Order: sequence, then structure tokens, then C-alpha cells
Amino acid sequence: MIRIEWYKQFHRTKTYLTLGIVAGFSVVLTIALVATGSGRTEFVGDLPLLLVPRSSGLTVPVIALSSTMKFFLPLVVALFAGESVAGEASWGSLRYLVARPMSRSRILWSKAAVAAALSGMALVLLALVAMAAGGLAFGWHPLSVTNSSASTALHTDVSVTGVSAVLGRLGIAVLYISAGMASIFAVAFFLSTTTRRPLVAVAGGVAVTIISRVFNADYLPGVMVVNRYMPNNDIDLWQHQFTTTADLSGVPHFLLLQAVYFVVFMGLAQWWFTRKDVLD
Amino acid sequence: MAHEDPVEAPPVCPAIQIEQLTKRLRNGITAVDRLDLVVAPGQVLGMVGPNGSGKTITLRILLGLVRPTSGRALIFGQEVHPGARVLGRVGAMVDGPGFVPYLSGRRNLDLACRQIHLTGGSADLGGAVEMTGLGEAIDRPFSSYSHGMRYRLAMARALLGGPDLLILDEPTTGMDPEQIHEVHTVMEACAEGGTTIVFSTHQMSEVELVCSHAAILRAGRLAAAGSVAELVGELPRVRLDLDDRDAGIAVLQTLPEVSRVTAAGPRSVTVEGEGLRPFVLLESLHAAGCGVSGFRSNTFEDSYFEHFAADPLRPDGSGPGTP
Repeated sequence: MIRIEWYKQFHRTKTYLTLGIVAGFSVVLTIALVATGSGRTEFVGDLPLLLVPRSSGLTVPVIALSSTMKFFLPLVVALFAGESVAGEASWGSLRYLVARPMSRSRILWSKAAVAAALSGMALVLLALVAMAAGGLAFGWHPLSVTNSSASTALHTDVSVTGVSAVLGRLGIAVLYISAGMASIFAVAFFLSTTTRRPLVAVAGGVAVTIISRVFNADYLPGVMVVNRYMPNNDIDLWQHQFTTTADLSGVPHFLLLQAVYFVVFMGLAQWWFTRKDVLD
Repeated sequence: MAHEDPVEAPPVCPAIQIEQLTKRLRNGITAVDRLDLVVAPGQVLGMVGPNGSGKTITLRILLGLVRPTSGRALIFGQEVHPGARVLGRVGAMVDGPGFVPYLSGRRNLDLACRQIHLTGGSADLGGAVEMTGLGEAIDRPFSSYSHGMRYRLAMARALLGGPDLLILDEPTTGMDPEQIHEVHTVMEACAEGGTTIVFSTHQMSEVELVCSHAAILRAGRLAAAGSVAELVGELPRVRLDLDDRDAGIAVLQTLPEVSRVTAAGPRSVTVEGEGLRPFVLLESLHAAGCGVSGFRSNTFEDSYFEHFAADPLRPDGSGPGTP
């Protein structure tokens, strides 16, 4: 069944277009950094990290991941997840899929697996293209990062990481962001089982990100009570890997939160899809 | 002399057995209401009834797409539920063709074949492609197909793997006469091959043309069911076009089986009566020197409108022709 779902996705222009836009983003980002003046210091993420693109091409994937993890990547993930079941319903082909002697759970999880794999591919592609484009533009050198939140007028918190270590940490960053997309994926996927309009499901997934941004104590300290339970707020903790004072204490809570969101919404998707009357 | 026990033929399992099937929708409407229906193997059954009479929901329950609120539906003796094994013996076209729009007709059929193979069946892609008769268009994206081409493709998918039961929901809706004829030809060929066919339609003539049996649904209930001949026979009536209407009426009124003769036009009359035999009428008119230029016997459509559609359900819920 997974092969059938792959077949559909890999004969679809939209799939290539989405992945192409993701890859293109990294290329455009690199070109923009070169064109703007790569010697200037960039403020990256919420910490923020201070990076000089010209110092190493490895700054580009860090910038690319940081600048996409809160909206662009969630949109891509919501697109793949939200389209999976609702897209089939909108074409009218869902009823023919479930009218076969095959459990609905199998159909559902095959779709989920393919949508998740495509989401993961998009994230990996973004990082790989950014590394390649950054390498071509600036060369791969040890990464020098200034942690501005830990720096003072008297002390500059600078960490220098070797190329192989940076590659490893970028790998961890990709895994961490992938895990951080689980909540958005699950919400969009659940909505996808309830509607025949893919856009509704995609919008639902993106709304999770937006709501997270609204209830973010970094910007609005008064919402601290709910901040901890917002699925997308600690997605940037991976950036601490590149600082001397890495504070990764929030990671277990964030991963647990993702797991809870994932189990709840995928469970709802399973519950709903296996019971729903297919009228589409 | 040794006594030999008579050998009993094994009971024939109905292709479809619907028992007290009820479906209440979330908006509170009872779409199917205590429906009982049996379809024997090899029958071609046409389901008719006004919109909202429960035809499509019943067909969807048979395909495991909709869960009944109560009652049950069995196909070849096995209860239907989502993903039921017996669905492997069913081909379907419900609520129009639904295909992946950006894939070609061939690739869509290939997907359907793969799914059949996945569930232990076998299907011949080449044969299905040939059946569509789409020629080179089979490699064009489905989204570029005309209405008729889409239905052809859907019929080919429904027949993939040689199903024992074919469930079709208004298979000829929106088709031109040639396309309708093609669908009828395919249905007849399937029926000759022993496939049981159940389909819904709003075309009464289609029932008479294709079906061996019919079920009339109204308000989710079975109003009547039986062979088409039986259902048509329930309203003995013929229409005659006469050279001399008044003379003809006089002759017809003398016949014992004629209960009523009414003028239906300047030269036409409608004759009603129990056990009308057309040849007796014609012979009597001929003997009296009254020429007959046209003859039309009762049709399924006449039966439908006369007996079932206009006749309210009885308070106990049973229709006039409930078996």
C-alpha cells in the first residue's frame, strides 16, 4: 500500500514543485547573502546567534534552518500531511480506495508514512542544498558563532566548531526539527481525515504554528502559563548546540510534548477515519 | 427395495441479503429504514426511487463505505463491514468516477490493479485498458477526459478482476445515447457471464431494458420488489391507437376482461382490466372491422407511477408491493 501511495506522490507535479521550492529557498538564500554582502554579521534565531556568512559556508544551513523552522517548514509539512487524505477525498477516489478488502487503518497509516517521509525529505533537502550552496559560495570552514544572549560589553561568547562536528550537529538539528514538526503534522493529518478540502487541513496545520507564535512567552511574558504547552515554541533549542553555554534542558519536555500531540491527533485520525461514513 | 434419501441441492447463497437495514444520518434523517432485500446470484436488479429514497446509501453500505445504524447487509453470505474480505468479489462505481486527476487513465487503472493484487486478487491491466476503448487517450491525464471517457474508465475499473457482483450507482447519468448503449451492452455481457448486478437509476426504461428484477424504494423503505415482469404485470393496461375510436370503444367494452376504457386522445384509448391479453383485444377489434394503428402495453414506468410513486406508504410502513 505504501508503494501505491509513493506511486501517486512521485507522479505528481505538486510534489516536485514543493520539494523544488524548498531546495530553491536554500539557493536563493545563499545568492542573497552573497549579493547583500557576506561579510556582515547576521542575527539568526531567537537567541540570537551572530554569524558571518563569509567565514564559512556552514553558516548557510544554520541560517536556512533557523529562518524556515517557524513558518515555511511547518507550511510544507502541513501541505504534505493535509493533502494526503483530503486530497484523495476531493478527487472522489477515496471511496474506491476504501471499498476494497483492506483495513482502513492500513490505508491511513500508509498515507501517513508517505506524507511523513516527504516532510522529512523536504527538511533534509533544505539542509543539504544549503550546505552545498554555502560550501560553493564560501567554502567549508570551522563555524564561528557568537551567542549574543550570553555576551556582554566585557565578554563575547564565541564558540568555534570544526567542520565534522558542525555536520554532526546539523544532523541532530535536522532530527530535532523533524521531531518538532510532529505536532503540526498530526494536526494537519487529523484534519485531513475530516474534510474533503485539503486547504482546510493545511490551514489547520499552519494555524498551530501561528497560535504557538501568539502564545510565546519570549514575545509576550504574560502567556507563560500556556507557553510550555504550545507545540512550536521550543523548536529553536537546537541552536544551543552551537554555543559555549548550551542550555538543552528544555529538549526532553519539547520532545515529550511533540509525542503527546502526535499520539493524540494521530489517534484521533485513526479513530475518526476507521469509523467515518465515506460519503465523498 | 432400498430406500434412497432424496439428495437435496445445496442452498444457494444470495448474492445480497439485506436484513432490517437502517441508516440514520448525523442530521437526523433516516436515509434507510428497516430495509429487507434479497438478490439472488445472476440477477440484474435495478433500484429505483426518487432522490433521497435511500438508493445510494444502501449501495454505499453494501460497499462498506457507510456503517448501518442497525440491521445488516451480507454479500455472498458474508457480513459487509469496512475492509470486509468479500469486497474483493465486488466491482463498483458509486457517485461517479473518482480517479487521481494528474495520472493518466492507464496509470489509474494500474493503481487499481496493484490494489487488487495487494489483496490477493488478480487483474489484467491490458484487458482493462482495451475495455475502455479510449485508444491513445488512455495515456492522457484523467483530468483532460470528457464525461463519457471518465465513465468508461470507471466501468473498466469496476470490472477489473472479474467481480462476481457489480454495484453501480446511476451508471449512465449524463451520458449520450451511444454511451448509454455501450454501458448496457457491457452490463448485459456481464450478466450473461453470471455476474450479479445491482444498480440504481432514475431511468425507468433502463430497468425494463437491462434488469431481470427491480426494487422500488421510497423514503428509505422498500415499496416493491420482484421481477420486472411481475412488477409491470401488476398494472394490466394497454394503450391502443384506433382508426375509429368510438367504434373501438364500443367493441372493447363488450369484452369480459375489460373493466374500463377511456379516451386518451383523438384516436387513442386506454384499456384497463385484470388479465388483459393483448391478442384477444386485437383479434376482437379486427373481427369488428376496427383498424388498429398502434399498440403499447403497460411499462415499468407506468407501474412505478401508478402503483408506487403516487401511493402513500401504509401506516404500518409497508408499501403496496412489499414482499
